[in-house]
Amino acid sequence: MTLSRRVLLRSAGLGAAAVALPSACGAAASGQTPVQATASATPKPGGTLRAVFTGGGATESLDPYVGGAPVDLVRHEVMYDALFRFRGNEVEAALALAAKPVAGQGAFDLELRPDVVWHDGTAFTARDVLASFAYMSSPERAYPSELSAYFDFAKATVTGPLTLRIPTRQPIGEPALLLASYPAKIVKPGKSIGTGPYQVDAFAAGREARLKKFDRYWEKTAVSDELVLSSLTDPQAKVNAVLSGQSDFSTDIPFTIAKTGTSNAELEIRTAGPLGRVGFGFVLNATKAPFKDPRARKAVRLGIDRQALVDSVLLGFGAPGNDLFGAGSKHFDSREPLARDVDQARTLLKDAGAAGATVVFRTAEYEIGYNASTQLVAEQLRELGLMVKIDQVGVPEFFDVKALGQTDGIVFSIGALPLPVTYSRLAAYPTLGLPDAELKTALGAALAATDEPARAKAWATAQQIMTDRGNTVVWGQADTLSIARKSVAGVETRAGQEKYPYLGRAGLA
Amino acid sequence: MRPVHPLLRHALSGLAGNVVLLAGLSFLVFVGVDLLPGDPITSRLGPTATPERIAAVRAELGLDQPVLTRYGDWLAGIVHGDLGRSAAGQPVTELLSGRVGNSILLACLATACLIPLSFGFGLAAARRRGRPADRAISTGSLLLLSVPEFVVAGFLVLILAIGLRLLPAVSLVPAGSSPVRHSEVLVLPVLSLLLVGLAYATRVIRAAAAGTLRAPYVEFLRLSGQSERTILRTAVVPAVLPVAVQIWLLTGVSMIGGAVLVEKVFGYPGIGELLVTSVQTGDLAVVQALVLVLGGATLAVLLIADLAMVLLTPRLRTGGGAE
Repeated sequence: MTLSRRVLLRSAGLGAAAVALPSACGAAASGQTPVQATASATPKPGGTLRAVFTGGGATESLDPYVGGAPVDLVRHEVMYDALFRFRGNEVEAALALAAKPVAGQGAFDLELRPDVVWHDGTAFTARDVLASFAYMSSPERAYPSELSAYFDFAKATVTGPLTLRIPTRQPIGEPALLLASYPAKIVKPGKSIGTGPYQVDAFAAGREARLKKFDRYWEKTAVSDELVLSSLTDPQAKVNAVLSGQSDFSTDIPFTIAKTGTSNAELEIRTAGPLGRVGFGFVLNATKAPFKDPRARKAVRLGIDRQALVDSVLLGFGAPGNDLFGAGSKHFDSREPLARDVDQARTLLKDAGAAGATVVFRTAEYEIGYNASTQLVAEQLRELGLMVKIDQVGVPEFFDVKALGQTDGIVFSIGALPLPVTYSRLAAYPTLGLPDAELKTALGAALAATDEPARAKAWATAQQIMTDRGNTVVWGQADTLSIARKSVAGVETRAGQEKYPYLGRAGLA
Repeated sequence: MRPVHPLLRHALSGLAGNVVLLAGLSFLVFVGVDLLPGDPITSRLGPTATPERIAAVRAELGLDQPVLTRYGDWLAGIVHGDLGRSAAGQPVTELLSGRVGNSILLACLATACLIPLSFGFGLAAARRRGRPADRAISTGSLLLLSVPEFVVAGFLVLILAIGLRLLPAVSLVPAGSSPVRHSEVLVLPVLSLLLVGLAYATRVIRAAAAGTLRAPYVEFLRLSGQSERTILRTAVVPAVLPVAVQIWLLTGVSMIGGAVLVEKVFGYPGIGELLVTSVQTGDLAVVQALVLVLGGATLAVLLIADLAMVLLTPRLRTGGGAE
């Protein structure tokens, strides 16, 4: 058949009309400002709450020490309890009532909550905690618990039905903070039962978990009778599940989708608020030139246009960062961000002998916006005379040890995790850590401090050092956005877990 | 000695050829995937893992062995039905079970709809060559072909799921159930695959039928006073069918692997989604297994297509004129 241009254009016109149809269907239109989660609304008891999160496909697991996808973490939060937990950014007792350092012994005593039962009806005892410690810190595990760096679990002993003594590897003033900060769910090894407000009813990895309320929960029982947690890997699919009414809630949605908003009167775009933001930035390699020189590091901080990055990468959903990670967490130094000063930055670069130098920044789209932010920063730094060569790789090769050692800067982001976690993660890898004796002393003092004023002072000192000569360049604090039916209430964001909210008290109002 | 039936001869030689091809394919897949940039260990352990820990996990998973040794072990495992272990330590066969079936179900349903529709549209367009019906079918299929399948899928979601709320936007299959028991979740993925496959198959069938309709022997039948129905049944369909069967089978098998993006758009629990997550996390064992399964399925379907061609072509079927 010969297809004349006229016929094709006429047919294409039909296609264009069809393309225009979705907007007429009211899929997405407005662009409202996200609302902060409705803490005032009270969910009604009973019913089913359906939520969808980023899944890990077939690798998802009911074992809290195996699965690590956001949907796994949300599920583990309601199925299992830790010894201590966060409410907002304050530590509170959960399965343990107290963790008291034993003076001069290099250990702490753990006192457990009585009258707690497991999902199988058996009583919770100190032996369960010992078994969990052994399980999470097992050297055969691909990633043994980071708590092993602070506590010697192998030498922990049961001192009573509900008490234990745990030796520490360094002076720890507030063990409860570390036990709440790192993943440390108490489990019956090898079994999918916990002590949390929900127990598993049905589970299919990469698809769905149906959880039912546990009536013998030690705290106030859960609000909804049933939680249905679905897994999807595509961000648009997560949003579509809520838009089409298949799910009630989804979080960590892309900024572009939030910008479009929703015209559906039953739905709203929410933000986790200023305490639930994720710090976006770079870590400079302070072990080699040119960023071995603190003046070159300062020049980068002075040379970037933070607001431009927030506007173009985060589409305005967030605020400029002040080069320190951990915004929103306790003891965070929330000083004003540096203003852009290209002239001073050029002078500093010249003094550091780095004018016209070429540096390599490594990036992968680990989070939406990483690559775009690297491109923009490279352009901004070019104005200072610093040539940034971008080493853009796929996610699987991003953490290649050798490549990380050779790079001058890498993209990095971290949520509002407690400061001990943030700084231990930054210090764990040579390329990311700042080799600075004073910083090390201050961090040690912060961990060892047994009283609040001493702790606050040590964190202030550590962050002052990071401000003066640190290697982190945090240009923005990104909002964590979610889409929800307006009736969804009681969703809690805990310290550093803005993408994996706690649903134990959530339901439909 | 009794001569071997041509169909059996084709089947045997095709099978032997496929075994050799599959062996070659397995080597290419293993080495090719191994050469992909990325490291499953560092991508899983993150930046906080010490070099000693990384080395220990690498040794534990056998990734410190030379590639040929690992290929040998992998091949020996496959013979025993063991596809190795994922980076997280789960057996790959366990990860694939169920998902392969779900993807095949999707491809089979789409192909089952594709066969009558593409044949009907193709023949209808060929018979009405140059007329409005032909123009509508040809233009429609050309437009569909020029749009990527995930765009078609996204478009269907916008209209049928979000706008009109007639169908679910994503294929959320409850735990303990299967897509078959929740057939509503299959509609949009099947429709997306069908539309793109249909466009291609219709165009090929239309071209083959139009060519046949202009052939001298058809003209002869028409001048002899045969009805259009008889001409279609006795001359056009037999001539078009061998071509059509090839297209249907190839489109069908490409839907198993080619459904990656469609499965992602709908969150359908098939191998496409698994392939995407495994590539993203650098889980080599899973990627190798999936690529081998897809490659093997393609080879098997190509063999069936060859045999169908022999079966539907009298001259080849009887062995006459083939030599």
